[in-house]
Amino acid sequence: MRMSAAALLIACLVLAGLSGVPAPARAEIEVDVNRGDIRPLPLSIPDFSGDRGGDIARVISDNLGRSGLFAPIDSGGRTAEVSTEPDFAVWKSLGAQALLNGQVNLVDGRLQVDFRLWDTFAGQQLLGLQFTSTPENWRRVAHKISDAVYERLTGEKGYFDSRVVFVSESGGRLNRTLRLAVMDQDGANPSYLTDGSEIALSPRFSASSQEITYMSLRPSGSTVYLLNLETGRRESLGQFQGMVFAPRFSPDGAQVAFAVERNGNSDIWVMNLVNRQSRRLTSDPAIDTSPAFSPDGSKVVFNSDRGGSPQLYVMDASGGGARRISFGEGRYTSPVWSPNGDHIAFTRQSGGKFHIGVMRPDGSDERTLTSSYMDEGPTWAPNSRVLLFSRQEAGGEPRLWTVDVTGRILKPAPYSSGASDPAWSPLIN
Amino acid sequence: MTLTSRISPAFLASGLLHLAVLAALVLVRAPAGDPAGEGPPVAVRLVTSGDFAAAQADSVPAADAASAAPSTPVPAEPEPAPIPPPPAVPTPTPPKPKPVQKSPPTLAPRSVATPAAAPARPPAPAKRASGGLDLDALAGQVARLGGSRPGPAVPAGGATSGPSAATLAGLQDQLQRRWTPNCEVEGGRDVRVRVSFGLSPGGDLAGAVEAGGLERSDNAVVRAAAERAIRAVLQAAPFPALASPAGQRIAVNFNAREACS
Repeated sequence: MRMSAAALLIACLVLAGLSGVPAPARAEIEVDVNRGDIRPLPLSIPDFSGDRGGDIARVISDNLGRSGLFAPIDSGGRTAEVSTEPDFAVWKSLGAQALLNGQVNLVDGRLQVDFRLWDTFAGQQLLGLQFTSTPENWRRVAHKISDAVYERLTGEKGYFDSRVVFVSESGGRLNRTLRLAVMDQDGANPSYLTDGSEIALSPRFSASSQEITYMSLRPSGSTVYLLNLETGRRESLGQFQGMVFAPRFSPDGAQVAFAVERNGNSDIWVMNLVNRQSRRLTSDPAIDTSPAFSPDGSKVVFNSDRGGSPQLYVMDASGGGARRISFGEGRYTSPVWSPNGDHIAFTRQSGGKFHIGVMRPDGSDERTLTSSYMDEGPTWAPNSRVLLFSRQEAGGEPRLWTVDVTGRILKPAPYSSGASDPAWSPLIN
Repeated sequence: MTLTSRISPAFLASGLLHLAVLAALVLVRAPAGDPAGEGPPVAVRLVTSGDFAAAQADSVPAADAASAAPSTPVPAEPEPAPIPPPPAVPTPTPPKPKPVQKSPPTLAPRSVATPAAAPARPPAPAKRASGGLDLDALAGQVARLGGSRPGPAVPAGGATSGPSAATLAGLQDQLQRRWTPNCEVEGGRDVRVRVSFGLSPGGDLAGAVEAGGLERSDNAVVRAAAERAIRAVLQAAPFPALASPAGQRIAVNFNAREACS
């Protein structure tokens, strides 16, 4: 009996096969999605519980919002305890794709901040960390959390725990005061580094973020200084025959490259800060200036008018092998290599305007990001995605602006006074 | 003809002139010609080299001290290293089930069809339920899409019947309105994510929504891209217009390169 049933089954299968009738199957449907919602990612950051909780949430929200990649949603006074799973329906109804909640405690005199990042639609925790610090350091904790959230949601390193050194400009045209100043990247904690008795120009950070080099101009001549931000100690690189300007640290902080002008000719030099020996990198009758190292320290980009007008050149860090990389219309100046090595940003003057642009280190893929009456002096954020530069309208005062590397996100920097020649620090360790 | 008689005064003058030119070249070149690698390495003449020693001996040169001391504030230095490495301390474990994981969380199956998995969660918002597909509206959308868009419906496996083109265009539209590709981030636009999921007979999500493991990638940009694609599906669900007695398997290719261009 069992044999006959099996035979019947086989016969049915054979008949089905012979008749060409396909077996019923649940087909998979495939869909291509080639468009998306390019708006910033909406997320909610309700006030953290505890003292300073609201302040910390606000700094994080401002950081992420200013990046242009996130759209913080007003939580309408709602809170979310960090010790329990959030009611995701509430946050989803606000349109938030992510939720950041946290709490602040004072433990043995130390600030302890716990936070969690949630995917509201997956109902899943993406990140849960705790930071401790001294209470007065709460802003830096907020920047650290901003960096952690930014990285988790984009996959790219953040840039919020960093600082900016710049030239603060004040006074009228006839009594202009140029002072060196430093602030957090969000404009907080500004402080002056020089008193205005000398003209301070072109400050640049070392890789450690603890030291800057800049040029000081007095009627007697120019001096390049090293200034330790931690100790306040300042030392001169010495007085040079001719005018010295445009100093910049090598990535390892062991050298400073700069330009020296003598008798109308400017060349690029580099000083070893350990043994204080200097070497000349260019020897050309043209004006060579604005050196900037590649992040691996093997190359130097600079601008030179050896081809007839200021253009960008890349040479070996030991000097020699210079080759031109800019061939566009206008005058190219103030090149600076991105921290990840992928791009070189520059100022270009053409058509009666100044532009901030980027190109690949080989000169390819040149793109103009901004244009105005006077845009100049770009500097890179530590993650190589954002540029800070100074913009001046006709008859106006120079201000700091930011633009992302695509050129789509252009915003005034959160510092509302006269400022120029910014330099962005690496992430603070 | 003697040897002396063969050397003419003109020849002698020419030789002397060449020598003079050579000498001039050497002499003129020398002051300006201090390129790297030639001669001693100290090519910049340091007029006040003594300042270095003084500076290195932890004393600010007098002129500097005068200008800097009165009004140059020591920069407000953030605490040097008060914050421990981020991953070191996880937040306290909350009482609710497993929201805190030390290791990076793995994506839990997102099953709308098994609400018991998340007892604390309220029911899906009414807004979602009202988001069912209006076929008339979808037909309009299809017309609006035009011919340049790739055909949305590619039933695999040889099925002879399935959702209409309008229904699938509606699915496509729902997803692209909720997908926030990672365009601005380096490498974000190069990620192509294929998300697959199943639907219950009623059009609810059944089982996990997966991106072929990309949601667990070690590459943070790829992982973020996969999570964004999965989030688009979760946000768009349920899909009542795709309800079918046998359920349905869907695969969605999220193409960031096209979306970001």
